[in-house]
Amino acid sequence: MDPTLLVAWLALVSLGWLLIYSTTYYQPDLQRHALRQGIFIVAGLAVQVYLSRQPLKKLLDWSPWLYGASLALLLAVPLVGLEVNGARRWLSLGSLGALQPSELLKFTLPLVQVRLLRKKRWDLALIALLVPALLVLKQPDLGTAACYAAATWGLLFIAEFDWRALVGGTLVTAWLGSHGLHSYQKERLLMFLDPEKDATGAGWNLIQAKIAVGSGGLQGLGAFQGLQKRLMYVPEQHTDFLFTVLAEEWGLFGGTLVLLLFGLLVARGFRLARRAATREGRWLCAAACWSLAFQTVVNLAMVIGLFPVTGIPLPLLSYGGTALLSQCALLGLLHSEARAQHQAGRAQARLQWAPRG
Amino acid sequence: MGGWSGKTRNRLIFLYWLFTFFYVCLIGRLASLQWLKNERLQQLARYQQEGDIEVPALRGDIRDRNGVVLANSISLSSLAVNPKEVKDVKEATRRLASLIHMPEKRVREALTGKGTFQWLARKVPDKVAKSLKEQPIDGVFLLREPTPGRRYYPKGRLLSTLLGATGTDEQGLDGLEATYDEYLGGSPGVLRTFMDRDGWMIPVESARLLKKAVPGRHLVLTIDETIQYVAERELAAAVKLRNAKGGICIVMDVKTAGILALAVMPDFPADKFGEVPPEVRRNRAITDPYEPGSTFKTFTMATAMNNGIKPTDLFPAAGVISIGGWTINNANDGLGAQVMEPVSEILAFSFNVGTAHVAERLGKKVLAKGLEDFGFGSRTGVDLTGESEGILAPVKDWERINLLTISFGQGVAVTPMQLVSAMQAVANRGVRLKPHVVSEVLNPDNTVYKKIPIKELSRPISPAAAQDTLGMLRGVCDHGTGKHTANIPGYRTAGKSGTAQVVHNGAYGDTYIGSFLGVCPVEDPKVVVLVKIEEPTPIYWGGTVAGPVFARVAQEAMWKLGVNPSHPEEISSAAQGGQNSEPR
Repeated sequence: MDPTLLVAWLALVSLGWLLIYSTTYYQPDLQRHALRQGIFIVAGLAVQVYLSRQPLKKLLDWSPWLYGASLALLLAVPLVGLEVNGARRWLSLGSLGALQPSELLKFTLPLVQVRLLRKKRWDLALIALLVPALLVLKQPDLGTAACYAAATWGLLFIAEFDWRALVGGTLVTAWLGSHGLHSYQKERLLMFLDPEKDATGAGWNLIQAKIAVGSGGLQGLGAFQGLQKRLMYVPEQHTDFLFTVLAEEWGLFGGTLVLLLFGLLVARGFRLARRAATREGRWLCAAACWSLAFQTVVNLAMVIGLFPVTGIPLPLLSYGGTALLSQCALLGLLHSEARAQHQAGRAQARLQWAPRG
Repeated sequence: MGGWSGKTRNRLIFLYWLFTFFYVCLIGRLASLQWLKNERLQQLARYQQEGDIEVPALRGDIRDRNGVVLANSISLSSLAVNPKEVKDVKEATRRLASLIHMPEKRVREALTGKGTFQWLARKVPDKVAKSLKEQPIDGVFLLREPTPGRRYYPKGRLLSTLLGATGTDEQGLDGLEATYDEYLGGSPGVLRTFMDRDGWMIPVESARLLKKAVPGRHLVLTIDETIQYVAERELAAAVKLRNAKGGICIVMDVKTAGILALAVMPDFPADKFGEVPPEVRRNRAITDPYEPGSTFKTFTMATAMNNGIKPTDLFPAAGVISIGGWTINNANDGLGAQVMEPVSEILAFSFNVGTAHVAERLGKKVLAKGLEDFGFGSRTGVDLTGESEGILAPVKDWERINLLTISFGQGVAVTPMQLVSAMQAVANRGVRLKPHVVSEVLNPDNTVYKKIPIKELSRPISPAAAQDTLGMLRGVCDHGTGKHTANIPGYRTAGKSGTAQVVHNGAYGDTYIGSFLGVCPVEDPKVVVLVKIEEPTPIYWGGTVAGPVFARVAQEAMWKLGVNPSHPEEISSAAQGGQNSEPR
């Protein structure tokens, strides 16, 4: 396993767990959140260890099955899924919590797409995107659909797809989107430009998030001391807006630390992609990296008011078991590639040190 | 490296720099929010998060002249709960239920309720607060400073009319509680707490006390708890014995005009003030004027003494006076008048005809001036709310008949307080002082904040005239209408009885008010006592129904005030058989 990735990962999930615990600090009825997230962190480590030992080729062979299985679960959601706050996204697992199949696809989709791209089946790769994307949009979950699209876009870009087609596709998607969105979604999307317009309604989250972040200052109010958090001014503070808790309690220093850790993770991923010996390795590493980077940037931009509220949680930190497992699986791909490169390096070194005749 | 195209590499680098670009934007924005705009956003946060709660001040005591507490407040804590912060509902429910004696079901409801703020129990006893301070329960908060305490009236019904009442926030509503609210109330403190999105106050342990509450000051009354108690007891007994509708008794210190006792019957428990109908809780001793009847002759005669008439001067006292269809005659109480009687006997036996003749000698102007100087027709200024000025027509409106009837207490209305105040002047060598019930205001630490000064109101008569009047009033008790009822063993009393018909709808009915207005001891008067028994049946003579109450209350006052008896030898003999027991 790659030590840099592992250390960055460990630091991020630990910090995330502390913040989730902080949101439950004055709300004992929510402490199950911290407990569950702890279990999923351990499970996520297991997933990484397991995947790091699997060659990428083998994973690509499994990919249709993995994709198929996650798609089947996603299909089951509208039928037997749980409805929370008007959205149907989860399959109940009883006391274990709930499974969010759309998060699984953030891992299985790029995997199957790489397999299809290897055979130059652009068309099938796009279909592989569209089916789950439409299902997710129906839930409705615009943010996850956007993640699929962005991940696919990144993968196609790396896979040397014609850039004009990519730009064209982006514009067409944007045009379709502006016509196909729910009115509340559009309202929410545009609200970030002027949240004061509806300060107690659609603009509330943005204003409160900004206040929480700003009042943290350089050093923050101290661990568990956040008042915006304790008084629950920011909705979804354990999921999408978890970063506000960090910013309020740990200040600019804490926020920058998390940004640096993510930067380290992504930089390491790109480095692995750049050094990958195989096309699949390159694509997979770049796709995994891009997917995590995209989600991170969009979430942070949303929280600090640079981007519309889209409902994308902060990778590795936000509460959500399925998402964490899926992200760990993406990291598992990077670990697998790292292991391959490490072994290749050792083989080469052996060759160099072999006594010459 | 195999399969590594420059194009892929460039695109990878492009993506990487795209990411880096966004990252720089994010850090820039973060720094702008947390560093440059930090103060402004922090202000916004404070503005919406902070909420101020008023912390009521501990209200001051009301005490009698010897420091006996008549009304006080105890600082009590209130319990609030934030259901979201309760960790162990089961354990907390069990403990709280037994602590505050509330059914477990209700406690659990409060602990698991919606929202973030809920009162659990307000004004809990100190031991509950202590237990929770020693062993706190997560999510359950004690509001730190004294919350509005409950007003206690430890003496129950005692002095309830005078004390008045406080509202739910302990603001004074009536009686002394209202008149002296500015002293008793103190000034509230401010506790800064926090509000959640919905504006609920959240009890937070870091709540700061912005301003400390300043406790109220204590009132020291001129009231003497013991005399008050005896006045109430005797008055209540007489009202019951005489089948009366009610009664009033006032005891006043002659030298200071401080009220030693003020009893109004029927009474009520002091803490039930709000539940009592206004006609009962009203302080009728100052609010309700009535026709005083013969007690008023005291002031006609005092004015006469002040205008050259001697107690021994003879006036016609028998027969009738007829003017304009009206007939003035003596009360039909079996006491016949001689044709001519000295002034002293006219007063002693309460002859209306004689008094009218005295008044006629004085004339309208002199009598009116005298009565006005005694304070009739204007408020005494006693420090209680709702005082009436009574009814004394201006002299220009007086006809001859008015002059004659007013002289014996008809066609004039006075409050019991006005009568007592006028009598105080007679007893105090002609110097009338302002009646009052509060003597001083103490700081919370019991140091003196303010002494209420004794204020002179008027000098209606000369010291010599006062002396003559007292001498004649002594005659009332010595051999007149008060002979059998208004004497105390060991002391010499003086006073005047009164029996007045009650006016119903503008006409005299067949119910009466029996009263006795007296002083004790006559040699150097210490107290004025007025007893008024309202509508007693069937016996209604003032000397009979009110005289005995006067005697017992005055006797108690003598003992309590430590006045040496002028005839100590009577006290031991009185113990063997009372001399006041038989009503005439």
